[in-house]
Amino acid sequence: MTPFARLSILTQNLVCFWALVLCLSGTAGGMLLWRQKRRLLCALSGFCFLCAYFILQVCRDGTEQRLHGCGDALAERVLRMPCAAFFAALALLSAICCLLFRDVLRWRRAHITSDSIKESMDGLPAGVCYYLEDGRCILVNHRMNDICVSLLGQPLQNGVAFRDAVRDRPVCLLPDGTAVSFRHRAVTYEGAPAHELIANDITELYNKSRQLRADNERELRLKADMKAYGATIADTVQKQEILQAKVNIHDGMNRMILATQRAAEDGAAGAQRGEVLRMWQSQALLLCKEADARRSSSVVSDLNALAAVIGLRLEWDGAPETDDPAALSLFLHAAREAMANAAKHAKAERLAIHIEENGGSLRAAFENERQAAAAPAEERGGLAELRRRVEGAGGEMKIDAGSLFRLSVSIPKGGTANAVSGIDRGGSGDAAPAF
Amino acid sequence: MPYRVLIVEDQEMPRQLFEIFVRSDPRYTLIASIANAALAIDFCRHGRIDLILMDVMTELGSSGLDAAEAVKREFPAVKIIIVTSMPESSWLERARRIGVDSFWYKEAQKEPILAVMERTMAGERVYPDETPAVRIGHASSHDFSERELDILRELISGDSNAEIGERLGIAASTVKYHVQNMLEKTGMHTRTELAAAARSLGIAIK
Repeated sequence: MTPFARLSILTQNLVCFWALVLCLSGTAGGMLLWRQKRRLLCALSGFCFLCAYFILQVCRDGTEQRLHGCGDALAERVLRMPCAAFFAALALLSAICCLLFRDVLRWRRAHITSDSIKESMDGLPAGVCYYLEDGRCILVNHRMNDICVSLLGQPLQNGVAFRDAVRDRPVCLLPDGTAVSFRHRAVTYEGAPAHELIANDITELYNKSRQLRADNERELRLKADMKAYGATIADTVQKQEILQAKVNIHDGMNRMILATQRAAEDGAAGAQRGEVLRMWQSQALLLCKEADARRSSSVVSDLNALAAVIGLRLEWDGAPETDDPAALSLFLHAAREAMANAAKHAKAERLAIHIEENGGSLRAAFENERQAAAAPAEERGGLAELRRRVEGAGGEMKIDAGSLFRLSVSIPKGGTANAVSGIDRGGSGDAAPAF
Repeated sequence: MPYRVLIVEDQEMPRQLFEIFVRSDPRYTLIASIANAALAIDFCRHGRIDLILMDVMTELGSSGLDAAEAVKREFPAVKIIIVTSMPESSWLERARRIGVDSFWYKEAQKEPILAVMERTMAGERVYPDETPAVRIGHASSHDFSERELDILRELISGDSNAEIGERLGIAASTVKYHVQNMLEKTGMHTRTELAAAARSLGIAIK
């Protein structure tokens, strides 16, 4: 068997190179295994390194002996060993190194390391920062660092300072238009208290919530408009109908003019002329009434009409001028009650109505004579109902039953919505006091 | 002996037209014409009224249908003709329910009011088959279901779907569904536009 020393220089150098590669592999493998905290395999890797280093050293000594004629005795003895032993040793060490590297790779694939955590954190769309109580950062991903640079103009180095800067800002807007919100949580890191700060990208949510807020404000405005419209729609519709009626009258006028023209041209007979004349009269009457009949309210004329039917004479001292429908409705109720009582119980022929009105209230007093034999006034039935409604509207009601019966009401304007007339009870006079 | 007639109409011109019609026929005597339906019962109590021509929406927010109900309860013999220009469908149903004798649409019905008065006084109940069809956007008022009309009446309040749903006893999502359906039928863009049109045309009046 050829001793190693008899090999050519080139072959020996190749063996040296092989040993050198094994040294480096053993060193790298040992460091990786050390980081993976696998002590036994790390020792094996170190052993491989030592063996390869020993072979390398022996080869170096052999080369020196050949060149300078001097060398180590141990090395000289080893160099006399068969070259196959060298090759076998190097092959064995190579196989061990390969197995170790394969194991290192397998272990990395099967285990999460701090590096893999950092890599995965850097790939997250959210910013992540873990820091200790004193502000020292344990882990900061790229996104969080970018956010910090955008907000504070410097990289994230102190977690406490950064959190203090964003603590009172539920949403932070970055210069690129991104909206981020921060969430903080206390955690434990290797037994010590630490903090987790996460910055979530809420740009889409933020934009949608802004849109929603704008829509809500618009809807509120529309609702207010709608309520206002609902409050005035009756008047609007009435005006539309009046306008339509006027259009109809004008159409009628046009038809009449045509009929008149035709009658004039055809030399109409007396009956036909009379018909045309009647049409003219009725239309003229309608137009005259329309011209002078725009009243703010029909309350007075309605009550006068009712009084005429009852056989009562109303003597007005003033007239309600307010447009407040609730106040007018309550006044109407009081008037109906007074008229019903005057006619049914007091057998009166006249009812005096005194009206005073100021900015805040409508005051009305209804006064009629009493029959001498009338019973004392008792407030029940219709009058009790009237008092309930007047006082419910924030007004006052007073009854004086001497030689004259006097019903006084003070009705506040506005806010008397509950006073809108009750048809089947008001003014009944059925359960009215006997006086 | 002529029939004693009371006119309840808050608008000046229709009222005067009714007065002319009533006065033109010797079979009728006009007792009064008033603007507030709440007074109708008083006229019945004191004026021996035979026939009332009653508008639905009268002065000071007084309802002609409420007044008619009160009159019919106390004076069943008094004939009542409801006269209105609004095609609100619920009024027709309510008029039937409370025993109103006849129902006449001011502008839509061909038959003159005097003819309706005559038939009513003869004991006939004169009702139109249905409310007049009114165009609202691309749709007709007859294209809406009862539930849709209920919701349409509430829309004018300006309340939310949830509030309307609560009043009608249905879910807010159901209200939203019906509103969307009505918008599609009419081709209108907003519920405000829809509610305003429905109210001003008299299709849905609360």
